[in-house]
Amino acid sequence: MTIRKLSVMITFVAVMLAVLVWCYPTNSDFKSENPSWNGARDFLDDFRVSPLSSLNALSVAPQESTLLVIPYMEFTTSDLKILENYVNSGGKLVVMDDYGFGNDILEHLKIETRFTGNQLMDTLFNYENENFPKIVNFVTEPATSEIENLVFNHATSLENAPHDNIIAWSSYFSFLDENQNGEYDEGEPEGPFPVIANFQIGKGELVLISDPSILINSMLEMGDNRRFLENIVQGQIFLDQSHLPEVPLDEAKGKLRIARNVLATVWGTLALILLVLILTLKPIWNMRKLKQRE
Amino acid sequence: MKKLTLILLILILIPAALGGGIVSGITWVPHENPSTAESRSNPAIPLIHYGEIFDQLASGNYPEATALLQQLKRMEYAHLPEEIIFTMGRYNDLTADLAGKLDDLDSTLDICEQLLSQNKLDEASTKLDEAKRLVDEATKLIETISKATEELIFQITPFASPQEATAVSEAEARLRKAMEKLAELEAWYKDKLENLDVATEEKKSLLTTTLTLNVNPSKVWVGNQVAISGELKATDIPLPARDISIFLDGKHFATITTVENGSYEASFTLPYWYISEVVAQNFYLPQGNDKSAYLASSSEIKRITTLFHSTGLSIEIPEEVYPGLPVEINGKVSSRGNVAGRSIKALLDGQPLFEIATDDHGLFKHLLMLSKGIQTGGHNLKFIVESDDEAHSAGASMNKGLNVVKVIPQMNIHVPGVIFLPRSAKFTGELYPPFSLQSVINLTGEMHSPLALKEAILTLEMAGVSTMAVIDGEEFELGLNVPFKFNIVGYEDMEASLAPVEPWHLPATCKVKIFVINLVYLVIILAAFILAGVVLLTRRRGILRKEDALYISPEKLQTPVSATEFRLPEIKLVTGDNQGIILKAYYMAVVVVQRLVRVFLKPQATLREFSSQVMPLLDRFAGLFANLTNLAEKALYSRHSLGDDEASQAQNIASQMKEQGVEKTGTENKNAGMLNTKKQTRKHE
Repeated sequence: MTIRKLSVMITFVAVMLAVLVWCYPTNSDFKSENPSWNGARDFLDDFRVSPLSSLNALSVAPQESTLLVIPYMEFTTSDLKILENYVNSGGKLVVMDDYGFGNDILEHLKIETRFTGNQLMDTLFNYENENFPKIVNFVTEPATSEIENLVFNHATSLENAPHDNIIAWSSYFSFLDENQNGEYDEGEPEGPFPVIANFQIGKGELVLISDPSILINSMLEMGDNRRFLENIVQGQIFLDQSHLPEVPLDEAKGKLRIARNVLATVWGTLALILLVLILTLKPIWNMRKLKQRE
Repeated sequence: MKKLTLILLILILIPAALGGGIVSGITWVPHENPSTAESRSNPAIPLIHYGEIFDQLASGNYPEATALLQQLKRMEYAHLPEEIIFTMGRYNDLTADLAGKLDDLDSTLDICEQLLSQNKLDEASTKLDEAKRLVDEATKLIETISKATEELIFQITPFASPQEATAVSEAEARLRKAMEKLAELEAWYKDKLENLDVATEEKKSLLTTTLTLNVNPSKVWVGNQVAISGELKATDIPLPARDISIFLDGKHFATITTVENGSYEASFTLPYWYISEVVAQNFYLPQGNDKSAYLASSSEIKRITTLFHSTGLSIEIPEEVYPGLPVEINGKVSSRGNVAGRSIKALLDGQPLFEIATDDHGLFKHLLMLSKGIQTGGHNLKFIVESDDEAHSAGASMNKGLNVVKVIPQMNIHVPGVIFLPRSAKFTGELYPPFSLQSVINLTGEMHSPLALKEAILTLEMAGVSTMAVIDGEEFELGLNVPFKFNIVGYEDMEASLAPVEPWHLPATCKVKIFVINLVYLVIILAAFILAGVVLLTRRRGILRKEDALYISPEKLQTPVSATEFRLPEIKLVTGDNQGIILKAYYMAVVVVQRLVRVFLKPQATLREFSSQVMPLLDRFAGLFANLTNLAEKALYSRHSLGDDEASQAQNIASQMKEQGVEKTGTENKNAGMLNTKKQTRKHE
């Protein structure tokens, strides 16, 4: 095995892997380009949502716009300030959280309500099992217009929400699985629990939903989830993608994207062309040298 | 090498076959795929919840029990057989019926108790009869539900798995206990009913009272005086100094006291109630010692027809309004009474919006400017005309739907479908860094809106770069400076976003696809490939040239065989070495044969193999070359020494072949030349 052959094989394998990583669809949760059950591509396509890779990209005037945030990564102070400005100046901020960092946003916005972080289970009103509680109690208002039930997926609940701000409750038969053993135990809080609430902040509006999964591809058509999302969004819709967990595939795709951008520059393209030329003409160069030696 | 390729391919294909699991890692977000979710329907669960509902009923928490039941009714029983679904449906209805009956019974008994305390015996008796009927119905329902419970348990239990058996048993026990509590509740109500019955019987010994009521006049303008009178008697004995309560339209209005002969008389101003009639009724409720002597009484109902001027209201408002844009609201108040200076309040979604007064003709006009931040969609606009009591004019109100809309400006942009880059480079005299190839894409466009549109911000974005301009007219022209970083060829999305400053406008976007050809890259790449092609072609031609050299020319046949054409072993002749002479002659003949038939003696081929390859092509040389091949084989492989005659025979054959070979090649070339001349002649003709 010559070094030349080995290097050719390694290059071939590297290129194949790069192509594979580039073409293989991401399977990250809530990602706009993920078409599988846990992605949000259907939501983005159907609702014409603009994914945001950074909250700094929120350059559009907030009036008549909705920003959906799934806070699965910690927020920086500047991110929190952007959210505060957004909602204060008239934007509609929808925080969809279950076990993430949604409470950081609420604390920053000086809202007393919190996501409990305990799993909401319902033994009676559910889809297939208690992990998919059905929300059947609604306050009559535009957001709940024509809604009969919502199906949540491993959701949580809200606490300390003022009664007037709550727009949806879990059923009487729900409970919070505080010890995470998947069943009701004596002393665990019993429903109904608030699960959706809205607040007027500044010129804008804040909506809290205790389950972000209602917008994933597999949950969008469950119950009246789609209709509810249609009711709560307004104007231009943004989905924050910058606070979602990254998986290695995404990181690899990101690096490939950087490499592509580098190659797309003048110097990068020229270097690539030069490399291709060198590799193409090297055998001829070698032959000429051999001939000269003879 | 093959093994390595195989290993590497396996390394690539395994992650692909695993669906990216290895590549992407495991996600930690707690949700699961609903399509693969395990269905868990525990039959004990409905029983547990029925137990809870009956507990609530037994504790007298009827609204809570009803709410629970309402939720339970919405449960999906799709996983259960039809007969159980039916049974549970009926069971739900029975339970709901029982909850309703118990709730009614509870409130009826309370009312009954209150009426008895006020000595209203007739009304109390009616309510008591009603309570008795409710108790009977509740008793029957509890009995039915007890039977239905047993049936439900009997039907549901077989669906419980061995693991769920304990839970089902517990639920059964809880349900039966709840039923027992219900039976206790039933008994409690029966006791209460009996006590009330006894109290009613006791009250029957009290004296009945009668109360009369006269109203004068029976038709009266609002705000005018009305006189009422009547008398209170107990079995024809007047009851003086007793309080009589006057009720108008069910509301307590005043209290007057009877005089010595048990009569009463009063006048009062009819309230400004702009309704067609007012119902008047008086009541006597025994107080103090009277409670143990007299029963309560009520007068007959008298209806007072009220007179007033009704008011009409008409409003004109556009069907659609825009936030931030003024809209004119016109209206008219009509009445036979006063229409001038009537106050009108307008409420938007229940919140005060404006207040205005009518002119002398009852007309009003208001220029409404909705706030910039108002939400689009349907709103409720309510107009309230205050009543004018002095003029006996009633008030009026009217609801109007208000549709708040925003307009999306129409925007068209015009750009060429195909663009060659760099399109144009501006040379302004300033120093450019190397490779700062800027490309300017110009576009034109127009935007329209039915409303005023000024100083909108137009953002043009393409390939990650953007430019912004304030557009003041309907038509615009904009150039986008794009850096030199496009791919060689391909479609690029250009997006124009218009952000109007007016609150009545919504942002508009327009996307176009442009096919971009990056000429610089294209030229560089083409040049590179042309260069590579030229080099490769040159090399190829060099090889062809070498092959061409194998064709025989008379001159070349005369020259010795070059090393590159055919490398035959060089044989150095020594005197008397017949073997060497024969082999040299053979190789000389081989050179001739190769040039004649263009078949080469390969190093690994035997002389016999070469001979068999060329024989069919040699014509008249075939015999000579066969003889020579035999001699060469003898020279190479035979143990016998070769004679001089054989050596000279070999030399002769080789000489003959060389001479005749030259002649043959010359003739062929000549014939080929003649043929070409003929072709050329025909062409000229």
